[in-house]
Amino acid sequence: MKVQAGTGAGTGIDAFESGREAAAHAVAELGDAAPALVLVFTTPRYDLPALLAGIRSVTGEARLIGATGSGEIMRDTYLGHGAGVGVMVLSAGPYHYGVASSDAIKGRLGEVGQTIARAARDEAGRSPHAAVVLLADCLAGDLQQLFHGAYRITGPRIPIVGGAAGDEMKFIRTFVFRDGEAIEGGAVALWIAGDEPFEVITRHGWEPIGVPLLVTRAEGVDIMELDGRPAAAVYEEQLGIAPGSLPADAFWGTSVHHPLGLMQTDGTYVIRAARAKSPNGWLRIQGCVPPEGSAVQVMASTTDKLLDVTDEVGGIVGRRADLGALLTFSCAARGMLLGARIGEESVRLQQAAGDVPSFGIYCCGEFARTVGVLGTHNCTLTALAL
Amino acid sequence: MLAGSRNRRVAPVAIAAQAAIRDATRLTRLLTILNDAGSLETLLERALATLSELFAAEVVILLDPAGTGSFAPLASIGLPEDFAELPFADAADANVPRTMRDGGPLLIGDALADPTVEPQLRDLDVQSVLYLPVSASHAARGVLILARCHATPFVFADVGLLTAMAYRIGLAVEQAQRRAQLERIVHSERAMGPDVEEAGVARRAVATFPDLVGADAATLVRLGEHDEVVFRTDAGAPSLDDRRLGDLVDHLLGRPEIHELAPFDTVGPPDADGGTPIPPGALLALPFGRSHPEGLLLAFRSAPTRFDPDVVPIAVVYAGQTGAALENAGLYRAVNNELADRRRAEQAATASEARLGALIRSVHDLIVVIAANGDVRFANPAATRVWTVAEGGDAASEFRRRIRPDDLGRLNQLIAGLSATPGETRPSSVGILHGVADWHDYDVTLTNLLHDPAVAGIVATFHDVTERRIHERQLENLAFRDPLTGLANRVHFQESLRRALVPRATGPESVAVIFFDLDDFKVVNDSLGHEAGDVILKTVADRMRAVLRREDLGARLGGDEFTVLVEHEATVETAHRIATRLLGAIRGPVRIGDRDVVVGGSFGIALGETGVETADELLRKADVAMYHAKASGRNTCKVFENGLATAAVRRLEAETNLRTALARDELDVFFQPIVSLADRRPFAAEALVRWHHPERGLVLPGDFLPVAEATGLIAELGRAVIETAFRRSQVWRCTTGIDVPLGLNLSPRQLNDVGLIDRISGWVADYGIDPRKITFEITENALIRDADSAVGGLRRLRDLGFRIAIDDFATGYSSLGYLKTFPVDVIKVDRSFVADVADDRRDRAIVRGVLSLAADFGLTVIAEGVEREAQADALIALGCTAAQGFLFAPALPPDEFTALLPLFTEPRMSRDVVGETLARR
Repeated sequence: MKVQAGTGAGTGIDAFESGREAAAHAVAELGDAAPALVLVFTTPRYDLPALLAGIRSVTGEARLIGATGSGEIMRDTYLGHGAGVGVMVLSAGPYHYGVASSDAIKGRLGEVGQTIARAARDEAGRSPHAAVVLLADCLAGDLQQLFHGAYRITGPRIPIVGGAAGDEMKFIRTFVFRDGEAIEGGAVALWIAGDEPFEVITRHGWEPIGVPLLVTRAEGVDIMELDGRPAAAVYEEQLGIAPGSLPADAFWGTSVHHPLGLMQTDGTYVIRAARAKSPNGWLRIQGCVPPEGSAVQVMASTTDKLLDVTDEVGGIVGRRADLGALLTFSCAARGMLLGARIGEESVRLQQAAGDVPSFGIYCCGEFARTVGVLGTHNCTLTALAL
Repeated sequence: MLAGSRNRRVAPVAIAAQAAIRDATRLTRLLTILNDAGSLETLLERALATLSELFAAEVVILLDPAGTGSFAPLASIGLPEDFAELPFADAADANVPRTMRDGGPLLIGDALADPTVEPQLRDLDVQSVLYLPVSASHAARGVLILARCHATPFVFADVGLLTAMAYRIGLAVEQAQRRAQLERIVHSERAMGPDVEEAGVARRAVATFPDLVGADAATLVRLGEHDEVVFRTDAGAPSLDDRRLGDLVDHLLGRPEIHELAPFDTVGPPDADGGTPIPPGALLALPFGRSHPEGLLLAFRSAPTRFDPDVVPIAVVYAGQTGAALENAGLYRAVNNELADRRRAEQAATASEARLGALIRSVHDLIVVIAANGDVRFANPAATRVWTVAEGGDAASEFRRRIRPDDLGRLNQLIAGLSATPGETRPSSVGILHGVADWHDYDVTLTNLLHDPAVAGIVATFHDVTERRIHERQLENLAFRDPLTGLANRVHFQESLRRALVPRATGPESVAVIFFDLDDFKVVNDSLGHEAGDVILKTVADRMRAVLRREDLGARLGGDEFTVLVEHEATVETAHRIATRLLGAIRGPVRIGDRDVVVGGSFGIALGETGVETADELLRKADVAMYHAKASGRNTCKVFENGLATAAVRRLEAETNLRTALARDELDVFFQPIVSLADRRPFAAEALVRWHHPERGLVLPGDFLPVAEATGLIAELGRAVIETAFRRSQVWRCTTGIDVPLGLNLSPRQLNDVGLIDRISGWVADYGIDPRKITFEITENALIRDADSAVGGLRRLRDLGFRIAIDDFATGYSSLGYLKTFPVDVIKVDRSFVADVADDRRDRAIVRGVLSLAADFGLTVIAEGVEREAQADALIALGCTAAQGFLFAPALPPDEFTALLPLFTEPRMSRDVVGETLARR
């Protein structure tokens, strides 16, 4: 038994109507199957409770999760900033779903990660295999702690994917959704219980340039020193420009093209983006800061290389015949870098996924455990096939 | 330029980066966490998460049976919560007990097929599991488990580093537990203090005890005058029945330790029915009482893991505290009984109720009523007993004489001040002399009742707190002193360092930290036992005290780790001097039983400035420097510099540059002529690699070959050199007809390069090389280091027709045996013997010996590094016929060497024919 999936978009001004329209389209695609789970990705510009009410006026009591972000992936279409709402409706198929959420997660991320993962699991019930989708406020702090909390419940056999809710790169307020509720500064977990292992994948398309650098001082959201010297100056040297020559207001415009790769023991890199440089020459990191003593390298890529990973990511649905939906979590910074070619990401993902509908969001940080406990990424594309 | 290196794929930097992560990143990151003084829970959470990340282990678990008495995880990452509290198998042959017993790592590479892997790990589909003993100051206290769910197995380097880290985690756990225990003991004293019921005190004491020492159950036994059990109070798991408890108490009271009020701990036999009253599992027994056991505090563990020796001193204080609280409660009981009698007696009397009240309170405190003029108007019997005032004696003067002189002035002032404020009460504390020389500590409460006609004085109530103060001092000692050595402990050291680094109004000042641990301490501990280890630690501490200056603070942080805080004249030189003295002192033999044991030390020094570094940073820097000292050969001292932390990354940078150089063909081969000493005619050459660095110019091999050796790039570089030399040989042969005999260096790594010899055979065909014209040179030390693998490679080369030379001959430890074993044709005499061959009789003797040996074996001898005519003459006089060196020519670029080729065939040569030829160009 394969899960059935339908997608729909609403692009109107009125929140309720847009939600209803998107949901109606998605449910129509579902055919005879009853909606069991609703996924909603949208922009924070809507009256969100009204939007959710509009959706639930169609989907009824089916469990709902979602988040605001910086653009949506709906099959082969990219819904840009402010464009509307994307909805995917899933039948139960071979799965049992459990949903749990928490508000005011800042300062208690580890505890929240555990609590919502446990509650979602208890609702979904025990099963031989499972996967967790985690969505959380990108402004809440070091989301690795949230991830870690959830990992305490799942252990290594259960993959966790997802992303950090955003607000079209304004970094002011973000929301996650649970059923009819839009939760500001919160987190929501979806536990999907099934009998078969779940397919997940994480790719970024970045390559190192320059030499490895040791993080010699880091605190809070800042890398203060690399190799014992002011971090921004060392970073600029790696780019081949004079230390201090990158103006603070133009920093992100450059650094988005050159994130840091946190070197892993197995030779891979977990990507971390330096969002700004402070007046005292520190690098401000988006999300999870590489701890003191870790080694990083400045990375580079091209639009083609970033897009090339989409084929492999979308292709995971081809690994098994019983998969019916592809959930993707791309990075808002990837969106920036892809620029005018951002639409190609949706197209190539859907091409690679074939008939299986693809649905996703541009986040401010992605969740996916590769090896060990580390599970937060920037500038990365991750996906779960259902 | 080097042939063959063009278009060669540059290996990904990421591969080399793993080495950098191993060398610097992992160590620094873990030390950063372990040096942070936080709660045990936070520390373990961070440490285990970091291990999971650094070692790509999905599951990391810490078991601490010695500390907790349980085989359930103390902390874990990646164990789903359903499994997080399940105990691991504790049977003697199970992996965890086995690891603790063996004291070494246990690696299971195919966990899916190994039935000894515990079910909670198997259920997670782990593929490889590494069990590491977690030792601390004493025996292995637990096990650290790392498990991977992916196919990459743990490698040898991981195991080495993790073993060191497991030790550090053990120390950190020990320290954090110590802190928690001390907090608990202070808290329990407060909780027991107000209880005036013996049963209540016993209940509270026994309830806290299992947690304090990591036991499953505890029993408090109160003994009567004839050592009979008056009452018992239990907590925790099912306890012994009265009969078995009675037997156990009898058995314990028969032990000398218990009789002397000392603790006793043991691990009982698995079957307690074998005639011994000791129950199975582990037992800790603590007697309490003033001069003989008045009771016992017993802790039981069902697991047969002995109680942590470091917890015993804490338990002793706790038992003392419990004993004092029980005695207090007993006194209250006695007092209450006495009061009841007195009240009945005095109810008929006319004494005022106020005085009666005062008396009621007085029975076990000292009560004195002081009149306005300072006379003692009243002293209760307890007071007069202490002061032994004879009937009619001067109570006032005796009272003052008994107060500690330092306290008397303050007490008088207090009384004077209080006199003006009727009804007011003020507390203070004084020392009071009992008997001739027995000072007791008292809390005193002064209440002005001058206005109360029934009292008409200031009532001073003295409460004896001597016992409490003793406990407080014991606690302070436990909190700030290392109980084994008496040195400051980590808490004390960190606090002192923190104070030392506070910004000064007078400007920044230097502070130095010396961090050292004992080389091979674990070996001593494991082979001679922990008692021997303790003797060494105490001896080291004694020697530290002897060596350190009065101003320096010496501390034992835990295990075999010691530190010194240097504030006075804190320069690198001072710290280095102290470290050198310490090293000298600790290396002296330590007598253990009938043998002398010698341990060394690795020392790290970090220098900081007040107001700049934090204590944690400075300590970590010294710690990092210590690790580098250890890595660079023991019994050394390293001073921290930022470069140290980034040394591995810098090496990686050098490696990256070298890879780039290979890719860009910046490496070239030069040729140094080898001449016949008789006529200076060149007859061969040694091929030597040089690096044309785009910015630094010509770089000599000494600056980059170590990096190439350390990183394995030597194989790639060596191949390129060989191929280039072969190609050059072909060019010379084709253009001049001269087949120049060439010497080519081979590193040990190249001899292990299985594809290299096949590649060489291919090049022989490609470039038309006559193998008899090629001599491969390998250093003597390389032969000695890896003789087995070297000999196979050399034999294959020899079988192909190549000649073999031993480079740097006579610098190794053994120069003769392998001349028989290895297929050698040429011996190259090391330059160190050539340097003084003209002047030094011993060097001449060595060279003569080498020549004679070579003659016997039929080998050719070439002297290296000839720079002066006198050396050449001396070599000729000794019978040496061939040499190379600056006297004849340096290593020359190929085109310059080409100019010398005609000399290879010229019949007669002048003395400086090479130089003259080169000069003509």
